[in-house]
Amino acid sequence: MGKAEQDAEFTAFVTARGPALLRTAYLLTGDHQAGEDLVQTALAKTYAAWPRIRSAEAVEGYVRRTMVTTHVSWWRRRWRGETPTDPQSGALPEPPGHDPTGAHDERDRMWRHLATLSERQRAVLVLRFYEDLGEAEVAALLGCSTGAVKSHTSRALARLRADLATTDDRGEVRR
Amino acid sequence: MSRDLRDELAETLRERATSVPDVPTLAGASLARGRALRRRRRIATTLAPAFVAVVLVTAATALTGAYERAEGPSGGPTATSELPAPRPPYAVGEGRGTDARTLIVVGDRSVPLPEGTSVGLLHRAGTGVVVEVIGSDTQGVAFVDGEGRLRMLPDLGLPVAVAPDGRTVAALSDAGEDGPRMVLARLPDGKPLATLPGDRAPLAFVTGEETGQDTGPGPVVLFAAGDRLGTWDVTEQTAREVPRVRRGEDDILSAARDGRRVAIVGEREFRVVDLQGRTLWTRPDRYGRNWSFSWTPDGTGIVLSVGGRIVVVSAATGRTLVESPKQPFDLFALMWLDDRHFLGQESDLVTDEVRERRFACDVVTGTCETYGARFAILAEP
Repeated sequence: MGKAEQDAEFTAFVTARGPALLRTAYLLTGDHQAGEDLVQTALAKTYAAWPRIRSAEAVEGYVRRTMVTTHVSWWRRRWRGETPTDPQSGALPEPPGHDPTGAHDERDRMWRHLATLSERQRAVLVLRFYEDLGEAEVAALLGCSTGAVKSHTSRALARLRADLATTDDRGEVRR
Repeated sequence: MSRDLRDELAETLRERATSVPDVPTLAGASLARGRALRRRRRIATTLAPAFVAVVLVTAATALTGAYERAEGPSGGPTATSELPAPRPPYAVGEGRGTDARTLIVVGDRSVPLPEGTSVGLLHRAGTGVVVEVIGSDTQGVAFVDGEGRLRMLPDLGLPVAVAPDGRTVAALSDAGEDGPRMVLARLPDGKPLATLPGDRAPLAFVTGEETGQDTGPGPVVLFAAGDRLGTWDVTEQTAREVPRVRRGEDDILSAARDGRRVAIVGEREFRVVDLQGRTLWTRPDRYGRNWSFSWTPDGTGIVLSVGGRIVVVSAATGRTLVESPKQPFDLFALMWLDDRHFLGQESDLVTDEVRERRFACDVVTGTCETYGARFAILAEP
């Protein structure tokens, strides 16, 4: 396969899957900008490995695995290459509007609590409940056993449940 | 939580994921290149300050070369030829060889600015363009007509606003012994038509209807003076204050082309007010102070440049419409050439060096062009 052909394939893949990758990266990092950086890094690594990856399924898996492992390694190294100058950075520009059912408020609280989980626990939840992957697939992506995935899932859900029970709608701890 | 926690979690993740804008064609390849370039630049600043000093000396060439190397055969796929080429009605260029003066390009003609000067902003005026000319210790206003003739307008300083019909300009002047004053001058020769004493900075031409006041049939100029906004009715020779609007000493102002709304960047917020003094919206200044911004020509959007990102917000609501990935440079002096393209001067995020190299973005197709290469910005969410 010639380089031009490889480039065309890579470009087509990014065009088709870029938005989905960016959404997953955002959920993993909890931050739009960090999500972009994560996708960029994963795509750069994927491009370098492109000649070795043949099938579309393999490409998708490679990129996702790279995103997850890169994200966890960033966290391990406490990577803070680009620190926002404002605590609001990364937040959406408009606060959520009035929600008469309260459902949005609950999801907003859930989102805030997700940010307090460990990177690996968060990754497990995103892959299980957003990507809808099975335990074996998550284990393969994270490079751990299915038992570890079960354990991470269970602990993360228990932590979320406990946190949600002890905070009110404003995200403040109930006394 | 009444529903099953797993269902709620899945719903939360899906809802959050929908807030992420899609990436248009070719974005990924460009993102990867941009990331690699930024990382190389970080390493360079950490490990080799001497090398950076060399880069400082030859920054424009060096960065261009670095970027082009990143674009090269080993840097990743390039498919920029598939993107439509921006065709602005006028532009800024650089001379070559021994004459490296800044050029104003109008159609097929290139007009050199006076030696040692550069461009602040460009303003369309009929078939020509009004140029804010900035030198090392001087600043002034020039007019380049549709035939490519450049004239420096005597005694006019900055800022300058251009009337919608392109026949007159309002500018701040402090030439002579009369003290600072706002001057209404005609094009193309800059002959003064009226003056208003005082240190007032013109922002835009407006109509009496927009100010909610009775005004004469002649031009009305919106201006900033101290912490207030005001209007100058040239026919009646009166100045009136826009009620209730106050600005901080360091706040940055920009008026929509029709003058009906003014965007104000303050210490902690970004807001838009109208000429009746109403605040139309505010949003937290999530980017800090180091940014520049400009209204789109049709008044529907405001484009910001901050921290290497290009952001377009809705002028009606303040909501973010488009946001680019980070680039290795920041833009300022943003100016719109038409409804699709804008230019900006660039400032290196690592070295803080400012270069005159120009930059064009097309927010409709979601592409930006610089260094002869293009990258994508994120599409509307």
